[in-house]
Amino acid sequence: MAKKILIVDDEPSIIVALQFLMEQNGYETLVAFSGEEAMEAVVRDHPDLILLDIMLPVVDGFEVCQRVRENPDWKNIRIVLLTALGSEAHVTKGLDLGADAYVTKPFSNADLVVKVKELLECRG
Amino acid sequence: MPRLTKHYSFWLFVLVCILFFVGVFGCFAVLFWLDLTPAERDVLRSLVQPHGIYVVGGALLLIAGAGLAIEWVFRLYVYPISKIAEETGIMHGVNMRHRLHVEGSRDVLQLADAINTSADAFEALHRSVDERIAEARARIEEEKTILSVALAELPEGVLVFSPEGRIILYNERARQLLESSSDTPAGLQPTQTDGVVGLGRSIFSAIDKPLITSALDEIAVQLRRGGHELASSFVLPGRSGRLLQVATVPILGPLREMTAFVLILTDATEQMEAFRRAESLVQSYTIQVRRALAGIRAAVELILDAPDLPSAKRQEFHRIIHREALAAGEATDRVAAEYAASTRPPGPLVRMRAQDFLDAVRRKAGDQLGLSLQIEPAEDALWIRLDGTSMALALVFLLKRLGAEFGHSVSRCRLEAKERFVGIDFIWSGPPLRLETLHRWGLQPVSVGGEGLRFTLKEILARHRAELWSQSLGNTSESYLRLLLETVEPAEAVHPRRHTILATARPVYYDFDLFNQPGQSSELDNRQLAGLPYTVFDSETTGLNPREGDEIVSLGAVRIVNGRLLASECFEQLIKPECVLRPESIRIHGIQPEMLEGQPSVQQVLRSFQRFAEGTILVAHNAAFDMRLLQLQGERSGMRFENPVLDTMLLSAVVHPAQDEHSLEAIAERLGITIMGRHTALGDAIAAAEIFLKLMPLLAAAGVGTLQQAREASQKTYYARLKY
Repeated sequence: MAKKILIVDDEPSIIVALQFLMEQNGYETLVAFSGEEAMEAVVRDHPDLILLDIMLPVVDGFEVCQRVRENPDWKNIRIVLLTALGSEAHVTKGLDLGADAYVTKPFSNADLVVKVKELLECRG
Repeated sequence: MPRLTKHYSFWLFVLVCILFFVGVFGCFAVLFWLDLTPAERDVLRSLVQPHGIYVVGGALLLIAGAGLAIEWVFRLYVYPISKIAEETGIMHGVNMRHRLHVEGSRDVLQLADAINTSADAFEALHRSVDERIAEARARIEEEKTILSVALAELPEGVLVFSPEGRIILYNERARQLLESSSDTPAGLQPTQTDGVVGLGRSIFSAIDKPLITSALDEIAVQLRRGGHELASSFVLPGRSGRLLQVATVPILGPLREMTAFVLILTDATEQMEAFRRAESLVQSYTIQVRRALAGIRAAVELILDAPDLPSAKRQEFHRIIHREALAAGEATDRVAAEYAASTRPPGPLVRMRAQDFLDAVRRKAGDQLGLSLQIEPAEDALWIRLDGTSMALALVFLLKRLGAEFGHSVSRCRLEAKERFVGIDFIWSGPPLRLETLHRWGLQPVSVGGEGLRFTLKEILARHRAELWSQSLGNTSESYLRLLLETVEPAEAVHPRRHTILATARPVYYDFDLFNQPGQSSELDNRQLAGLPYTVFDSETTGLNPREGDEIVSLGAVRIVNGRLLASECFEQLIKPECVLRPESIRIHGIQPEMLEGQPSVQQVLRSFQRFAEGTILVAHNAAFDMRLLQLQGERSGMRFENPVLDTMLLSAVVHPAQDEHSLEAIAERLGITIMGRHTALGDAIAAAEIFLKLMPLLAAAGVGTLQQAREASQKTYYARLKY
């Protein structure tokens, strides 16, 4: 059964590209355009990995990350933070809040796929 | 020392008396002779000629007796009375404790006793008046001291100058910023000023004249227009390649006339450098991204405009788009990293140890919330930049909300170094805070108890580029709230602040009397002595014969401006001589040859001294000796000391001709001055300066008011004839 990846970003062009990329690599994809939608998708579909943008309206990526990590049922969900911010303080904060990896935009498709594969295989 | 002046007058008086006596006697003798008949003359001639010895002897004895009588009168009455006159002047002029010690007749001694008794009464009265004046003045002095200390502690340099361009007030920071370290010869004492900035000095020695005049012209135009914002700014190169931003602001009198100008100097080097760096980053980023976008756009437009493009070509254009997108991404990463590394959080932040900050938060939490926080020891000293008061209050605000809304009681705190950041963690037993809670609190103004800020928590965090979150502590049931701040280097240069102890006397930077200084130095000769600037100096040497090659081994000097000795503007320097230090001179000044190893050459020191003494009158005790040395040693490096010169030894002889001694010690004792550091160049220079200050009113009383009069009176004294 294909692994489910939730793509969270408020930028449609990124979502389209990522959706295509992940599907090409054999993953099933779900999309959310905000933090709230992301939490609903997590509750509803229990994805295996979340590609999570930080700069989201109202509920930001850090908060989604924290909420996911609060629920022990979701402890196996891998989280990759995606952001254009790129500040070291954000990396430190994101990783401390429970993200598994951190990727700065623009990123290499190939590198991202490698990272996703690693995390999902690691999860077993 | 010979008492030449009074002896001259005595012998002159004796000569006049003898001539008068002989003249009168001669006249009577001639008249008597003419009155005699020839027969009577023969009788007289026959009587006198054989006994002429008695007549001549009698006449000589009479003259000698008269001379002795005159000497007796002089010794018992005239000398003591002229000495009494001089010493009385000393008593009521410069040294109230001085008393008359004269020898003479009983009447004269009674007079001296009466004057001494009167001096006792005068001294007692004077003392009580002085005490009352001192009490009243102390309050004013304290206010002035506080004001001047406040000025001294400003991070900006402040310098006030008169319309004639003379510096009348400055702070230490202005001196630091303006005085050029590159001009200071190697080996010179770092504490000594190179004399560019000093009271009474010309502003143009520190700042180029065209810059000042153009700023003043701009202000004059604004003033004519009736504007209220009167200021002009320019940029000036400072020491060690720094850039100074200088704001010129006038001080106006009641009729809006310019009475003085204030220069405010700010070190703009960092600001300019940050601006230059940011500009260069933006420029380089624009170029790289535009270049990449140009390639992408050209390729995309070609693909869109030509649907039947051959497949190989299309592939090539795709590769171009990909390559340029990568280039744009790399440029963005590089610029973002460089920007983060080269800029600091904005705002007025202060560098401090993270441990100290945490300790301040602990105390504040204890006082405000009754929390007893334990601080876990940190291994290394971590330095941060922050607005300590706002941030400490923000953290205490968070701790309060934690307790009030969730009942979490923070028990301990710690510092966690994270690469170029430090996490300040507050730990409690219980679940972590949710970020949405922190976001909610972030929108509230920070306030604890009676203390409140107008800033919200979010604003304070943004000002520090700080991050805040909460997380569980590993696998325990504990959680922490972490404030993440950037660390800074401990060696980062900052303007040092030091605590201040109010001095009993105010710092010397003040002298508002200078507002009324007359302007030009070309009129020096006709100016009153009291208003002139002086450099009082002294030298210690290898020996006493400059003509035979003896050299200076130590030079000390102080300045007098507007009748005040500026103790903080002193010059003191040892010098490595080219000739041998004679043992007899070592015995006097105690400077050993090994003390002179590594000291600068006389040329370097004289050049520095010349700058120090620029625009002042040179004063020394027995100045002929010191000036000869300056002249001989200066000539070798093409320097000439053309300042007007006054000599305290000659001036003392001018005001006290009846005194036997005019050595530095004798004058100091007479005028009630204690010499600190006799036979050190600076000690002697200070003593000479104090003597000079006390001689000034005595000179004025003797009708010697101007520089020219002082020089002319000095030339007439006996001591002026000594040659070196």
